[in-house]
Amino acid sequence: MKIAILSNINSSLIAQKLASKYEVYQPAGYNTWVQEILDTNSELYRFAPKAILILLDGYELTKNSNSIDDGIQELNTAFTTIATVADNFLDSAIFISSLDIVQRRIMPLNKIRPERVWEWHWYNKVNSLVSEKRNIFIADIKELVERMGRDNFYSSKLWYTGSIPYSLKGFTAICKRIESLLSAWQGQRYKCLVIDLDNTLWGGVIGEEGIDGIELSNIKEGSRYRDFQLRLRELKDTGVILAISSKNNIEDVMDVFNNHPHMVLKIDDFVVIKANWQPKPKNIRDIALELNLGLNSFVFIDDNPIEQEAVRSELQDVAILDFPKDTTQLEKMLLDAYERYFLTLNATLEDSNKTRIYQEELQRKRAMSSATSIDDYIKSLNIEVFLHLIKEEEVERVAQLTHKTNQFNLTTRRYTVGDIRERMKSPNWRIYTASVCDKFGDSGLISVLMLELKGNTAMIDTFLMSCRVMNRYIEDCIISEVENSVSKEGIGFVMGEYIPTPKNVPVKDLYDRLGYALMLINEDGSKIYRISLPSYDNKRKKLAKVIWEEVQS
Amino acid sequence: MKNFLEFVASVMGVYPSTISLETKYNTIPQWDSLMQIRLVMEIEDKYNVEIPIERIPELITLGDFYEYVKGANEH
Repeated sequence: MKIAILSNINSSLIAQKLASKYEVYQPAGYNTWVQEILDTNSELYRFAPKAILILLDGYELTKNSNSIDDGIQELNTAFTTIATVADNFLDSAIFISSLDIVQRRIMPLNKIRPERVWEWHWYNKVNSLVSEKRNIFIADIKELVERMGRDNFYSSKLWYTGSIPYSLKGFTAICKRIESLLSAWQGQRYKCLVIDLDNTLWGGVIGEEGIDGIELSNIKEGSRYRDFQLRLRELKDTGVILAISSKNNIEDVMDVFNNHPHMVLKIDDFVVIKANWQPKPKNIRDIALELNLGLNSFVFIDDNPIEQEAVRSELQDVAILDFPKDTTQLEKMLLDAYERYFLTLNATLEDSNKTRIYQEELQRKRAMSSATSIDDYIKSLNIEVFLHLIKEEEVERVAQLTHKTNQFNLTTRRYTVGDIRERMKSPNWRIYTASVCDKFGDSGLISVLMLELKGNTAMIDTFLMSCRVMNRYIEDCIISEVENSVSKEGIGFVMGEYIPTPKNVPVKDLYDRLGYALMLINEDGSKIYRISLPSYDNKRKKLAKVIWEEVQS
Repeated sequence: MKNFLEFVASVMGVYPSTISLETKYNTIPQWDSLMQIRLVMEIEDKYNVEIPIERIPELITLGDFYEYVKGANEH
């Protein structure tokens, strides 16, 4: 990914460090960030970064200001420049640093510290832009400084020798934060957190100490577990799925959830609960199967080093949190894990409903195991597919799906919000989205089909579906409807492509099944298929009701 | 001394065999003015020493850095 760093201090070291992972651009010369932004012929615009980091040192911005108002003027000027970047790079992520303004001025105590006023002014300004635009985010450098302390974060020596304000520790922390922000922007995120109960969600062993004996309270020692639970619930609300793996009797566990006055988390906050005496690696594997998620999207928390080791040695893909020896650090462990594995820039509606969506999915699975045949089961779900051309408010979710979907993804092409918008503008592209609901609930937007029209042929560039709704022949309905639609526009052929990856094996024969003819197998193993329209294929299963929503383009 | 050179090599991103205590500032592409600052900061952190700004212009070879660290640790 291409990233640009614009700064009013020497950011070369940061650029150097990030260059091992990204293609980094930073303007030549010192403090040239303003010119670089204002001149639309500058290298910055030619470089076309996917993410821009604006890293500003607050003291430098305001050092010549003689009054509070003076400083506010300075900040407003800088801010106007930044708003220009936001306007000119609509499809790139722009991270604007918060300001930490070191109190270097000598002043009597009864004077208002301008630094605090300026920091707050800047923070409000940035946030007004954040709430207005989808691609602007705050890079909260001030929060890093607060955590570490200014004496640790800055180095006068590096400032006077190289115009670098940060110490080695400060510089390392900034780089780490930037990397988290960038991977969140790229949509790389773990999905499920599996948690142990005894000595993790509460103190003590429920099976031995009973509900009145465990440590969990509003105040003092027991509140470390309560605070930990509060953070877990917030994590869940950003779209992370919670599951339990605990060596316990389910009755004891339910007793705590139903009757303990200080439990923050409720049974409904979890998608799967494994309270049994099975080995934990087996439980985690089962959870992954039930939720249809890869093990490499799992994070595991357990206080017991033996359990940690068992999971580590059997399930290498699962990330295991370093459980603190001192449990007052439980909350901090989770905050660090959030930054490392789960950081979210903005939660979509699907994210906040994720727990419910997965719970409904499990109900479906249970219904399936009691049905007489798969087809009967699918019919009994009363599936409705709402199919239409992409709408503006869906762009983010569609980009997100191209990044997250690995199994039912014929070509695994990853697209940013910008890429999607570009194709929406082109007369040759059609992007269809499908939302699905059934008698158990609404699954939301779960499928994307992107077509490129070339003469009388429509090429399927991307066809993907969330793994939650796989195996219900929804793809049969979508493809038939889309073929119908383009056929009316005079398209005679549809071409499909399968590019194999280690994960998309489930769809390797999809086009064969849908009645497409294999045209070509490339050296890399990818296959090209074609069908002529109108297609008459009786092998397709149309078990869902399609509601075709025409949207005027 | 071997450890010192290995550490410096990892900071500079070069093979240890390509540098020695005689290696001089600005004679290899990796050791430019930015690397000079980086070396000061990394060496201060690694060896828990303080290099005053007045001494930095005198640190011309890796030997100078090495002697400085050795001297500081003896005190």
